[in-house]
Amino acid sequence: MTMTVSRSVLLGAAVASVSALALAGCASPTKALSAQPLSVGPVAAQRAAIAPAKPCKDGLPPVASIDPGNVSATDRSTWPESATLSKIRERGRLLVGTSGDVLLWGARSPETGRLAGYDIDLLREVAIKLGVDPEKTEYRVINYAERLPSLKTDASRPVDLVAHTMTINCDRWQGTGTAPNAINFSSEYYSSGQKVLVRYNPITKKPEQNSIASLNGKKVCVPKGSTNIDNLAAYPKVIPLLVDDLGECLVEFQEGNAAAITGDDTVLAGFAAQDPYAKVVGEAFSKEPYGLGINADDPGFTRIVNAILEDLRSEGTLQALYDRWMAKAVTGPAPAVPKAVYGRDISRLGRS
Amino acid sequence: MSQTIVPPAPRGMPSRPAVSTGSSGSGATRPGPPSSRRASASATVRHYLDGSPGRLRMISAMAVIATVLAAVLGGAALRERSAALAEGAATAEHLLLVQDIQTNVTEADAVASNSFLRAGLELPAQRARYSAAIATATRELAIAARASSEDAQALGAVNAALATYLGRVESARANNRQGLPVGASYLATASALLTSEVVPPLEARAAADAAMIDAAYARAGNARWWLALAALVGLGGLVWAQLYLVQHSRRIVNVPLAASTVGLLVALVLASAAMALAQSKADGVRHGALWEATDLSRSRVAAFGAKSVESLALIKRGSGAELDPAWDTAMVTAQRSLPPTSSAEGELAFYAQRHGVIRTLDAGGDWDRAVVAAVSTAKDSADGHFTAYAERTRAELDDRAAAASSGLNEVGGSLLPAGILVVLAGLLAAAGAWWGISLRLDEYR
Repeated sequence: MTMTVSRSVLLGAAVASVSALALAGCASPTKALSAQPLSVGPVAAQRAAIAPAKPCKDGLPPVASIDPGNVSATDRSTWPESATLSKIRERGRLLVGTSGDVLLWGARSPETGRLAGYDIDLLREVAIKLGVDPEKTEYRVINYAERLPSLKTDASRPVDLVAHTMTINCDRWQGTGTAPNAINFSSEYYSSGQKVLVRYNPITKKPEQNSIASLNGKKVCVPKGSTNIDNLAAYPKVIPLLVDDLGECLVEFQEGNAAAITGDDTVLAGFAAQDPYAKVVGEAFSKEPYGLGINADDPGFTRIVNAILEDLRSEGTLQALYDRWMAKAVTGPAPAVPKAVYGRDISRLGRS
Repeated sequence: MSQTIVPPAPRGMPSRPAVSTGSSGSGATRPGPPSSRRASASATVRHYLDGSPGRLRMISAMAVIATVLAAVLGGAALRERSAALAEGAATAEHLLLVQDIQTNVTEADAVASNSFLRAGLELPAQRARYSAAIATATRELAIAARASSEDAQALGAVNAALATYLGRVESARANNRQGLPVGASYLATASALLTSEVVPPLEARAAADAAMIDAAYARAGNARWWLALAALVGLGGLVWAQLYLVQHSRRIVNVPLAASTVGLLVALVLASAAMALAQSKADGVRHGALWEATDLSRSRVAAFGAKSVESLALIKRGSGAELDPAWDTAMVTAQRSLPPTSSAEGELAFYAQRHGVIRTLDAGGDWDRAVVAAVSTAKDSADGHFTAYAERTRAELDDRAAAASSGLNEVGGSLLPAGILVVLAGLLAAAGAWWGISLRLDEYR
């Protein structure tokens, strides 16, 4: 009884806050969506909803990384000086930070007890290209808050690389805002974005809805205080069901309290992998570019990693990783592997 | 039958007053015009109360009324204290029951979350402990709900929330056995439901019980003023009658009156002693065993809560540090609530220390070793010390609860006999007063 009451109170608050966001969106010149005529189709609206990310202090977009230039992944004589690389060679193995509970990306398999997922496989490929035994790679499961600090040179337990479904943004490049310290990012290896998870009939192979736009008047579960709520502002008729933690959304979805869940496609795919009656649908209506985290003072290692990623792109490895981990959970054709963007000079980021 | 056979009226007596209206007869109840009848009656009363014999008759009546009143008041006072003490005892039983439900559900949650860390390899003993705690809690809920309509309403809601909780725990378990992370979310929502919708109504009912117990003992305490009033009226009436007799005759002592006074005094002293003894025994149990049982319950509920939080923090994998403040708060409550007589304080301190090791391991990134430490059942592990704490407090709680329950139920035992004694003494004193004064009256004949 009380559950229903508190939930409807929450919902009321959520609707109020979302409509407030929608109003804010109207006033903001960067979010022209709400001012657009109603005749615009849902897909076009979704595309229009993704505002280009604000450039960093050097005027470049967040996804811009350091150009590998003449560095070749296969010709080690072209590799520049790098403190991280020296440590890896000295140690004879890679030391990485990953997630331990993001299903399909970095999660411990209950059968083997070993970590498995897209990020884990990517690190394996990087280890091979770096010339170290991937079997010897030491995985350190770190939490979200530890992702940046563990890349500091003076970290208590430093790692060479962080592969942890980490979004590339300016604050993390610059060490500003909520970022405790600056880090370097590799070029973008996966283009994540906010999508919806809906009910799916595995026999007819049909989802109940095809996109966020078809969820008008339906309850969509979203965690409190997340950026995912802000992105719902463009869909004022969708009723948000607020929970404390994204994981609770799958509970609400399975108990029938929510028709859909919205969040990053990577997390939603992890939900779909646990529930054969759920699929991730529609196009992303936000952009979360994922990059590997590297020590801020090691541009040399950043260039080497970028050269390796170039190879993994052209060899089709990144596409294969998508097919292996994400394709089953998502409807529709596979998205294109993001192209690398370069031109960043870390001395111009205004790091303190 | 009796209506049809009308016996002939005795000669000289009117069969009914209406028939003989106006006729003159020889009976004492000769009816006449209302005014003359009243006048003759008041003349009789006046004659009856006239002079010294009349005054003596008045004194006699007053003394009898005073002693009968004392008997009634004294008996009522003892009955009131007995009833209030019995209500206090019954409410205390209910309080202990409600607290036992609380400890059982929180214990079940602590066990469920700890065995979740073992996934499919959960220990059968742990599963059995969980099932037993839930079985006890649901059985006790059904009993506790019968106490009052408020209990029925609040505990009915608790029962409904508990049903949802059980469903979520089973979903958590089923998903966990298949290695699906959503199991952790089911467990987290189950635990949250317990803290938001099961424990608070139980706490509210326990608080209501505690308030009712206080009110019952306050009422029991007030009964002493009724006894005091009984003494004032009864003994006062007798003493006043004797003083009158002393003033108006040469005899110093009227034996029946004096005996009545002494008898009533002795009965009242005995009753007052029984009342004081019952109250002080009840206060002793209430401030002793009952309070200790309540404190032990509070400590256990908080400690089981802390144990749940410890497991949930590990289940959160790496983001468990956000639950540290919740654990700290629960542990402070668990330690502060532990009565000084408890022997479990050391074990709780050991557990807190081992818990610190688990947190350090988890915060340091060594989740695996943290989990191994958390699920270990070795004697010197966190769980080992916690289990020792739980067992010791369980035994102490059972002992205190039994002592409180039997103690409170026994204290009222001497009150009803004392009540009967006061009533009998009062009635005997009334008879004695009447007799004593009628002896004096005889002297006027």
